[in-house]
Amino acid sequence: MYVPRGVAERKQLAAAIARVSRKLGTDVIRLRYSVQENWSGEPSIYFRVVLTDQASKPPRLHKVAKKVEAIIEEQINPLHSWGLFSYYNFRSKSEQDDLKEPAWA
Amino acid sequence: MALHDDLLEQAHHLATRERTKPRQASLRRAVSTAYYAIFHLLITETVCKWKIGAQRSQLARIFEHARMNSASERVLKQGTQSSGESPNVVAHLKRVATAFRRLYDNRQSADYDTSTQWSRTDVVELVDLAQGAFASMKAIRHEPIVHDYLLSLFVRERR
Repeated sequence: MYVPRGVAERKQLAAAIARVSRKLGTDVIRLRYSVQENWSGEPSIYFRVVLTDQASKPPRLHKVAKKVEAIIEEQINPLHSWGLFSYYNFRSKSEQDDLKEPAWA
Repeated sequence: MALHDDLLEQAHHLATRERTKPRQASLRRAVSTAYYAIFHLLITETVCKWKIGAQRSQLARIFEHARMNSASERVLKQGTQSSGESPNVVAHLKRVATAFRRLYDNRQSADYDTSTQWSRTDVVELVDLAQGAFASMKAIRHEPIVHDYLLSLFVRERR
C-alpha cells in the first residue's frame, strides 16, 4: 500500500511548514494545517490561513491569497514532494474571533 | 449570457449579500454555485467542439463530477516538462485544473458537511478562484493540450 511521504514523515512535514510560515509576511497571522483524505479519498493537506482584516478585503484578498499559495507551493510543493493534494482556506482575524473554531486558533 | 457566466455572477452575488453578518446558507450556496459555474464552463467548452449542434445537450449529460475531478488531478500529477507545450499554456491549464479540484472538494463540504463554518473571506476567495479559471480557459481554449484535457473529462482512462 502506497503511503505518501507527507503521511509517513509527519515531523519533517511539520518542520517544513514551520519554516515556510515564517516567510509568509505580515498579512498572515496564523497558518494551520491538517493531513487527511479529501472527498475522493486521496491523501491531502488542508491549509487554514488566518489573515489580517486589512488583507482580507477585496481586491487585496485575491493578491494576498495567491501570494500565500505561491510561496507554500514553491517551498513545500505538497503534491510532488510530499504526495499530498493541497487545499487552502482563508479567513480574517475578525471572522475567526467571531467563529472561534479551535482548528483555526 | 451563457449558463456558466450566470452561475459565476450568482456565486459572487451570494458571497457578498448580507453586508454585516452573512448567512451560512448564502455562503454555502455561493461555494456550490461557483463549483457549478466551472463545471458547466468545462462542459460547454467540450461539447461546443461537437459538430452536430442538436446533439450537444445530449452529450453534455454524460459528464460525471468524479471523473472530471480525477482528470483534473491527473493534469496536476503529470508535471510540466513532458508535454512540449509553452510553460504559459501549461500554467493556465493547471490553474483551471486546480480550481476545478479545489471547488469540487469545497462544494462537497458546502453541500454535505454541516460541521464546517464558512467565512465570507473564504468564499469570496473561492469565487475569485473560479473567476481566474474562467480567464485562464479563455486564454488557452484553442490549444491542443486543452483539447486533450477536455476529452479526458468524459472519456474513461485506459489502464
